[in-house]
Amino acid sequence: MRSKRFNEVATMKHQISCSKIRYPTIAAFLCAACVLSVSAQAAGGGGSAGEAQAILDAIDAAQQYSSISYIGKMEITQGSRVLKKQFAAYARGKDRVFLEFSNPEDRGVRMLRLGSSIWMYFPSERDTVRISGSLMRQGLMGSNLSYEEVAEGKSLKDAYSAEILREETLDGQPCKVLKLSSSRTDISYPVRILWVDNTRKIPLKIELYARSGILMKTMYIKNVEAISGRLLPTIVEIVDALKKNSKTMFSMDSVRLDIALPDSMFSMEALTK
Amino acid sequence: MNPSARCRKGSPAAARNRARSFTYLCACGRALGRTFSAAMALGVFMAFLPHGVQAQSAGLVFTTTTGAAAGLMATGTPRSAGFDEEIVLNGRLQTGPLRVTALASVSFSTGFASLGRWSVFSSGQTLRWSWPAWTSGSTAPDTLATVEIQELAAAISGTLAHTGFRIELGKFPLKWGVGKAFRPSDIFKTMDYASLIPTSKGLPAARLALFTSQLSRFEAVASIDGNSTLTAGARYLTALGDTAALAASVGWRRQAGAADEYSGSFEGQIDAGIFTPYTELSVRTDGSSAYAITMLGSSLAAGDVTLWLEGQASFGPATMNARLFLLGTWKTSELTSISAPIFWFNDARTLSASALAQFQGILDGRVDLYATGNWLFSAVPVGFLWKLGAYWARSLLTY
Repeated sequence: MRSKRFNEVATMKHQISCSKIRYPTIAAFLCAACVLSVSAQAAGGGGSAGEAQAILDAIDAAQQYSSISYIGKMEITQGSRVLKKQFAAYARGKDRVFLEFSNPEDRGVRMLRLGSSIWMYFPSERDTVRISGSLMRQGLMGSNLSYEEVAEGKSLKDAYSAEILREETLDGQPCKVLKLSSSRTDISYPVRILWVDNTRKIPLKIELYARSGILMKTMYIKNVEAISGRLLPTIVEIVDALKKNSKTMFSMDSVRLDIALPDSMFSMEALTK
Repeated sequence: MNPSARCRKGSPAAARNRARSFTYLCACGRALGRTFSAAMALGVFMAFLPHGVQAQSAGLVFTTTTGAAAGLMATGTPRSAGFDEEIVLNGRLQTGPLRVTALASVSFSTGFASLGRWSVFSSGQTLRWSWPAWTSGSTAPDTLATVEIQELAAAISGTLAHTGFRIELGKFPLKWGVGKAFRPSDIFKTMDYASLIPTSKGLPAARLALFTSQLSRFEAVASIDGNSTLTAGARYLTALGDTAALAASVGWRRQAGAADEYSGSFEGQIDAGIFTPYTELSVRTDGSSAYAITMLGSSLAAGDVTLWLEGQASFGPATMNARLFLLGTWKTSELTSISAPIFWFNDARTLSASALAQFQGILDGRVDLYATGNWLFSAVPVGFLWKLGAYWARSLLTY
């Protein structure tokens, strides 16, 4: 029988199809889940829409860093089975992302995003693959993070309009429940419901809906850390609403903000090094 | 091998089989020992590197794949079953501008699994040893041990006149083209169709790459295989905005007993809504005649399903051959997927259809179950060959 290593590389490469779960981009995820505590004040004098927009502005304001690097870990659980992935991530601005996987099965596999183009590199075959079209909706390395979401660089306030639905207490924390709606066709989740902590202005829970109105997944922010004066979610649990007993724990370690990341890091040369 | 002789306990044939199996086990054990010794030496070396040149990154991944297979490999032969174990060590060392990579495998297989490995051996392969030794046309053994260095290469990177470059020497995978199954522009002929989903093989080669912009590069490659076939070529790749990627290449191939062959090729990929069509065209000549090979394909993804469809046709003065490839993948859950690759080789009048189910997270590894059927329409009556297999694979990072 032919080397199973080759089989694994080939099937790993072609298995970029994903479940219905779609995760926000790393950057968008961060900006959806943290705010600058200083600026996280609702605008005065506005109605519900004005207050909602102000909260949205504060959430987006958390994206006020020029660059970020961190070690990301994903633990995908389905019933008793667990799959773990780990990667180093570097991002600069809204359109430059570089990932390198370090878990044993995917070690050395890299992803480069420049603008809306995504390239994958598989070192064991020295193969560079361009991801485009409908393949962008498939999972990155078989994970629950889609290429499309990695490529998204839109801020929430640019993509959504917001309204406050109600006040609600979640895990003992009084929250405002916001509904975000978008008519854009290039948005992964046209409707999002956010439970935003009144005090820290941090979303504690996010529900993501398809355009049909079906709940696709729910995100729970399990841990938040203060990093360089900003509150960032460092542990997030994502539950698939369509599949039983399926969830992913996403965590970020060694987070650094506003670091110098040269242009050379976001290039074909670095991708294939 | 006489089945009757094999079945009789205490018979000379049975004793010979036991002796051969023991010999193979010893050979496999020696090879495994050498491989692990090399890995240990690599680890010790990395640990004692002077601080000033301490590796920026290093890693050694150990992968074990255990499984069983059964089937019918050739018409007129009995169906059989067998066991297969493969250990792969994948190492990488990066220190400054220097990168060293190595990938070695040791395998032991019996019965049908042995037959499967034996059937893909060829004289063109390099750095592969087997017990018993392979010769062209020889019968597959009941037990087989192999050691292969699939990759051993060193690369050095740098900048010259504001242009990044990389020089790579050794044995490493070479792959030109954009096709998933068919790559007409791949002048190195490294595609391996024995796997359910085609993969590329490594060759001894030298490569020079110049990175002319963020997403463009020029590369020149020269390789030689186990048959002393020389291949050399130059290729330029670039992206056109966010919607397309192109490549153009020229090549030369010298094979013993044949005229030198020259080629010119083109590769393209473009975004077209939900489709991503791609194409290749390669024109080849040996000076007296010319032929062309063209490939057209596209991918489509919707929800949990991804589809690839490729067609390849060759046009020459004598014949026109066509091949088709269809691959569907359905991710049934987060950790489970089903793939179905289908091939049609018109020149051989052969249809190959497979189903592969993969289950992640089983005993910290992955379980693969597959079934393959091959219909040989060139035979009368139509021949049918089949394979079934079950494998478990797990990777560990040892350093």
